[in-house]
Amino acid sequence: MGYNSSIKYKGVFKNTMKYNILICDDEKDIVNALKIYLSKEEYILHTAYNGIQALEVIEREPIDIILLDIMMPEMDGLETITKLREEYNIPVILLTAKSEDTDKILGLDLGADDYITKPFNPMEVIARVRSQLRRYKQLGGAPSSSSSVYRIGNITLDNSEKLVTVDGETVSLTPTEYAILFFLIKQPNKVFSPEEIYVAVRGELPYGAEGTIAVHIRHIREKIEINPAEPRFLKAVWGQGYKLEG
Amino acid sequence: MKFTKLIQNKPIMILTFFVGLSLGGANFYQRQNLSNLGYYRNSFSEIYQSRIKNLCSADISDIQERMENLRDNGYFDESTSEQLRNQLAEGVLSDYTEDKTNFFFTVHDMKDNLLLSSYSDDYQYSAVEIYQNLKTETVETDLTEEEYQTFQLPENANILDEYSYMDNVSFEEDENIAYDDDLDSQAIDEAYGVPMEEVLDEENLMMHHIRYEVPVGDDGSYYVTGYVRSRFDANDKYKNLYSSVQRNYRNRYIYVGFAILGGLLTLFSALMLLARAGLRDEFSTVKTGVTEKIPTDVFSVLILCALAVHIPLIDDFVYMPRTLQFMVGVDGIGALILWYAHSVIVRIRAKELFTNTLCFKILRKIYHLTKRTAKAVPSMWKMIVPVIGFDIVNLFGIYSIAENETDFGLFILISLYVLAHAIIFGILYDLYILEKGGQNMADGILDKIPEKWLFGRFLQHARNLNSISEGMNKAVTDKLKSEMFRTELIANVSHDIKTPLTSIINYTDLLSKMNFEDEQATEYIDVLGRQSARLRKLTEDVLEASKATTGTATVHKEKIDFRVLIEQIEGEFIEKFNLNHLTLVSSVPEHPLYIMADGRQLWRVLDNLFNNVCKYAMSGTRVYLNVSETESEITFMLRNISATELNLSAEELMERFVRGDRSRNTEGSGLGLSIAQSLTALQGGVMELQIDGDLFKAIIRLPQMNAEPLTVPEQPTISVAKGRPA
Repeated sequence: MGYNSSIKYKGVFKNTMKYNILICDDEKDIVNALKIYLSKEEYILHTAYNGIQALEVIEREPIDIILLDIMMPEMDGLETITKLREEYNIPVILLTAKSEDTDKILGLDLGADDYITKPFNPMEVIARVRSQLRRYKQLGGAPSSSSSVYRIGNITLDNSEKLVTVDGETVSLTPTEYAILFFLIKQPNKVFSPEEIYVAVRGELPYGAEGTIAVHIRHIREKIEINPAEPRFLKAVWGQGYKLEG
Repeated sequence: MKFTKLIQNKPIMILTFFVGLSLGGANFYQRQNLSNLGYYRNSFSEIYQSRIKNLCSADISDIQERMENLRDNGYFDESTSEQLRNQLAEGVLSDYTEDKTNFFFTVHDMKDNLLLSSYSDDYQYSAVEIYQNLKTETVETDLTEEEYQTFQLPENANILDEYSYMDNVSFEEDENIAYDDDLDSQAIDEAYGVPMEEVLDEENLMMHHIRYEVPVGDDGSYYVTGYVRSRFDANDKYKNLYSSVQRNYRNRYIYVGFAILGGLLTLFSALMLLARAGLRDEFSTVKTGVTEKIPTDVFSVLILCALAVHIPLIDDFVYMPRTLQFMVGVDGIGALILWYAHSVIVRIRAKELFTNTLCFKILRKIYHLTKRTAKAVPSMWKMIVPVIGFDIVNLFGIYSIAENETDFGLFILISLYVLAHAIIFGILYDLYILEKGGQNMADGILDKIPEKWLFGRFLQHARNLNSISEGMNKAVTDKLKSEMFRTELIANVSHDIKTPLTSIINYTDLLSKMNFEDEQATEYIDVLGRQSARLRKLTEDVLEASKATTGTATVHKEKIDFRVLIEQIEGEFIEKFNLNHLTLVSSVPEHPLYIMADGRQLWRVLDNLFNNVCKYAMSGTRVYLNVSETESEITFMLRNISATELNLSAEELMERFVRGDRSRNTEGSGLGLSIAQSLTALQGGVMELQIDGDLFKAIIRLPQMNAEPLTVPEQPTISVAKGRPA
């Protein structure tokens, strides 16, 4: 399970203020491991071991983001998130051992912003925390009024400057990759067959283009997704085509 | 409220019943008697007829004796006799006003000279008169004293003429009318020719008389004539009877009224009593009494006997009204009928009208005895005996025809024919039902065989089959339950494993980032990292395999283009192939290949196969991908040369936890091919593996759009049932 290393998060994102992170899991070892990883990023860390404790900490401290386990005693993650959303708008990332789609959908519907399945890669956790914080603290404003700027999740495509950024970081794409992404971002959530995509971007493709659409898609995914094996935005609909989900 | 209580009171109702019955009975009887008035009219005539007969047959010696007695005791007076004779001579009518009797007799000789007359109906008195008169008139008659003494009224005394108010109707014929049930006196009046009212009118009773000729010796005879007083005004017993009849006739409507009232009372109280027969106050439970201990048929016979005793009491109409006797009769019969009706209703309510009979009990005893005997007979005989019986009857029919008893013989044969057909149809139908049920069972449809129209041994057979099917049903249900339970268990366990696994992976990662002096430590940490990653993959695959094989995985089938899927999968793997120095040679039709399948699951299948190729194909070789189609199915084939010797059969490769090379310690659970096979089956397709030397072939056959799912050589559910615990 090779995780993409093309996103250079280390040291790129500098921030003048320290963020408060709440880690909530009934498994102390997991909480400690997360503390070790996240402490390197200069966050102020708070811990809780069940939902009730988590809500108490949120009352007390100016928490900026929460890592929340689902299966916990006393009050589980789903109940906590329901209670939390009555008052707070803080980003919540669910940590869950349940890998079923229905569990993920339920969590997101209840108000979670992202989810990570156990066992997780610590690097992915850090990347997602960073992504959520950026969105919440810096990019949370209204989308640009410019008609040439498109935004899906943490991906921004500025057609006037031919610039693609992910969480504010510039991503370098080949002209073909850019053309495909531009085509898909214009009509998000619509499934396009490889043939349709090919026809749409052919004008910009030189003759004898290397590889197929599927290969290009995989390359784009590796550049814009935190975990290309489990893409959040550029998804394959197997047997039908591809779509950009937002 | 009071009235309700009253009518629910049993003794009061019984009392009302008898009062009503007696009242009604008595009045009905009175009214009924009125229709028998003819009797009384007859009786008037007959009474004075018999008086005259008595007069004629008087024993002279006996009278003489009494007369002497009178004379000796001074009662007899010659002058009195003289006076009487004179009075008589003056005429009959002058004496008719006497207040002693309504009947009057005269005796004349052949020359129509009046010999004597009597206005008494008293036998003795008349006799004295006769004697007295005879004695005084002896000289003037031809009869000697001796002749008088031996005088007997001959048996053949002729009735010369007869005058009564019923001139033209003889008494004997009238008897029928007297018994007529018709209460309407009009009919009687018509029969007698004189209206009843007129008959009873005193004015019309004018000197009705009857005359007898009484022969005396050879020379002649004398005549006795009887009269009835026209006004009927003397208060003798006949007059009294006459008066009572008259009174009854006047009161006839009152009798009718009371009879109806009594009848209504009887009916009402009887209904009240019968309505509550055998019920307690709450109208719920039925309570049988002492009477119900007697079997119904025995009770019926007893009641009939009792009725037979009572019926003559009301049936025996006699001259004189016997109201009391009639009342006793009516009350008795009424009570018996009420008792019987009450008991029958109680028996019906207790549902024992027929069961509580002597006949039923005897028949039941016989039935049980027969059944017990039949049980002892071996079952083979139960089949043989009816057939033999059938043959005997059949032969009897043929014999009858041979003996010219054609009609009878034909009747027997046709009856047998119809019976045999009915039985054969029944047997065929039952066989059909059993056959269908058995076929269903063989096909795995474990429905119960309907037992409704089955009989005898077929029924027993159906029941046996049903109990087998029930057992199988239970076994299948239990199996399914345990499968579901196992899948759930695996899901829970794998979730529970993931939590500690997270810590292991994380801390191993942390360790790997530390600097160790010892190189071996770094090596060991590498092993930990590799094995924990493998454990993680295994956990995920086990869960997926259990879901795919038990069919708990949900399949979202939609129309997809298989060609697009191939293109997508190639895009995903092309660089990985290049990395392993593998060349993919693909041959796919140019046009879209539409199928109905779950794209994600089918991708998992292909992903698995392509990953296998990457792992196990010999470096530097070509990998062939072929997609071909027929009308009903699409065939996908992936061929590669194995890097190592394949020492396992294709079947073994499909088994879970088996991998192509056990020696190499690569990541993977060995579940991949098993999952791929199960997922293919879920799409209605078939996955096969073929090994030809080092050539490894994976073939997936999928049904075309709208085509029937392909037959799977081995059902996934059954293979799981046999599988080892995961």
